[in-house]
Amino acid sequence: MWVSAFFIITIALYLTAWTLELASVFRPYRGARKLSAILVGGAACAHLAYIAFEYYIHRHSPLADLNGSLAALSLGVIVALLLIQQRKKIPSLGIFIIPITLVFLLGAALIRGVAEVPERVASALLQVHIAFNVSGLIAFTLAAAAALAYIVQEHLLRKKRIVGAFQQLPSLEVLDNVSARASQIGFPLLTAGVITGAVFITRAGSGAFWGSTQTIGILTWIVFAFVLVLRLVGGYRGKRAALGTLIGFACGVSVLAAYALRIGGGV
Amino acid sequence: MSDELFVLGLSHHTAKVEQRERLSTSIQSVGEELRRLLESEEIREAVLVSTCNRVELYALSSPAGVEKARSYLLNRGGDDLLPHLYEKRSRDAVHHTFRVASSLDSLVVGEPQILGQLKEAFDAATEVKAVGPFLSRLFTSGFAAAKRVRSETAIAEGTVSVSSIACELAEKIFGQLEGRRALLIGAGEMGESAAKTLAKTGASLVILNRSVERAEALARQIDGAGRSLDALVEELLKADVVISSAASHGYLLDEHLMRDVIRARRHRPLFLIDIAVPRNIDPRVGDYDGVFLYDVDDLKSVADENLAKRRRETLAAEKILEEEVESFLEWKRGLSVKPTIIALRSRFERIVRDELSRTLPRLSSVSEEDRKLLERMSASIVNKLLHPPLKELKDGAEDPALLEAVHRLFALQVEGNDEGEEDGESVSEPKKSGAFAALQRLRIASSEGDHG
Repeated sequence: MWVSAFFIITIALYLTAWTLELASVFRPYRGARKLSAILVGGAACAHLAYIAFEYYIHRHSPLADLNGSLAALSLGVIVALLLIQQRKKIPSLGIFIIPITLVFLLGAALIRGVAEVPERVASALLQVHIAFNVSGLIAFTLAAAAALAYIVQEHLLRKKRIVGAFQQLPSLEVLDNVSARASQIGFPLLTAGVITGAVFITRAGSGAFWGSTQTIGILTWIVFAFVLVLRLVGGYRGKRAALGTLIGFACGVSVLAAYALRIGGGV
Repeated sequence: MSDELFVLGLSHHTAKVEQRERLSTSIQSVGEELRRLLESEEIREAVLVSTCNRVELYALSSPAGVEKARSYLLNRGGDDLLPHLYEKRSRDAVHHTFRVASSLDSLVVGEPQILGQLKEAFDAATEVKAVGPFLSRLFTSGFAAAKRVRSETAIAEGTVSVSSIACELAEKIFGQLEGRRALLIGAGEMGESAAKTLAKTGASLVILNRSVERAEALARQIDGAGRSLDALVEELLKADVVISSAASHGYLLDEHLMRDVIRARRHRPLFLIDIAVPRNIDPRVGDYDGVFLYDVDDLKSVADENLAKRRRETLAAEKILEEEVESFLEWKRGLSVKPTIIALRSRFERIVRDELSRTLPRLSSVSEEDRKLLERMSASIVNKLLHPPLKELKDGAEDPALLEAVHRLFALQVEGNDEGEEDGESVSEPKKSGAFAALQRLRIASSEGDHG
């Protein structure tokens, strides 16, 4: 009962905060941002309570199955958003991040128990592998949200629709910097995830675990590597880099979707 | 006859700049002007506001004072200004003051400067003691109304000047402009204005012109660097923002040139503002990734849209002003009947006090407690008796017949001169700048029986 209550409270608070942020973009009014930040903070607390009760009931690590991983991933994204807002005061980033978080969280509830890790393959290394991947995905979610905001803002600027929502969104430079920085943080984490995954598969003794999820995982790594190299060497930035980041993120989400769809669970 | 608030002046609504400038005065001279005006006995309080769009005198005076003020202004500016002068009195004058403070009467609705200019004029008048309680209350209420309008409506949102819009757009692309490089091609008036706005943000400026001397002359004004137009490509490679306003028949920045420049810049964003007519930049350049091209029509349409948005907000702003005007008038009404109320209450209390002091000694064995009880009961009777007439007085404060009736019914004497106080309960008139005198010029004193 407590789990359901915290889950509903979390969803309701995220939705209210998002509606408030969205409304304040089209009709700015005093105190809306502060109220929205308080609501997101409240939602994060309820979210944490939800994960804690899940852990208390099932007695296993939140990273032991896809359900827990998604719940932890969505909480991590929100904590990162709060930290960014605290330090950089970037307006309206929540508009893009909160819906992604909600999708992860609802996914966590909908695919409950589907992707249980079989006992035979469960190990500490697997936990480390998942932790790296989840952390990498938190950073990539931020990068993707900033990239999406960049594309929206750039579109408005190019179409010369520069009153209303345009004025409330951050500058292109800020969004590009957030996206680049988050990708730079996420990439080593994803790399560590890929390496630990490879070691785990090798130790498990066969190529039985290699499948579409692993292939898409490697593809995610390649896309982000490509984007970062182009940024660094080719001076790429702006819309092209934003599109690359979104493609990389879509690959990362596809890995999660592939896990979720795999009947019978497993890694 | 009682004093009245009036506003006398001219503004961009009624007079051209050559007419306005004949009446205008610097903020340093305002004090001297007010001193001269206040030499007239009829004018009790005054504030003189002089900006590029309006010259207005806000004053509290008798009707004769209005005529004196009008003559004063015409003497300064010339008799032919008479048809351009407007006059607003009482409620209209209060409403006008609040509209001016809230920038609803400004040439560019919602512009923030007028509030500062009003405050400056008010301070200058306060310094020479030309402001009394009435104008002080009027202006502080006006400032508060303006604050409410700005915070509760979107009247001040969105930039409405072309150069500021260009600057805001640059900030939306680059974030902070400090340390960015802006390039001004040509030294036209509009480009110069945009460059000056950009310079205020901390961006470094380079001016390119066919005539290096002209470029350097302008560069000195805005703390930039001047160069010949031959350095165009070199500067385009370094610039973040380019404002082009050169007189040219073909495109100065054509697609061919810009393709090479963009490639050499390695995808660094470039904001191009073409405010020249005919245009200096090939519109196809705007299709390149990382290049944002705006021409003068684009910027103008944003300015118009923002201005229209502000105008739509004036309806909401007017509602706020109506509330504020009502609240001010309520204060004013209360002020005009206050002397009568004080005199009436004082008279009743004196009667009770006298009767108690006459009766209590005749009663045998009245304890201290009984005495206090009797006093409280008497005070309560007075309050209950006075409640309906006082309420009527406050509600009908602007009805002279009602005031007259109260004075006659309760034998309150109204004097029109400046005699000294007669006893403790009489309501004396403050000096010239006093609120009561300013409003009513009444001297209300208790009549017979007040001395016990």
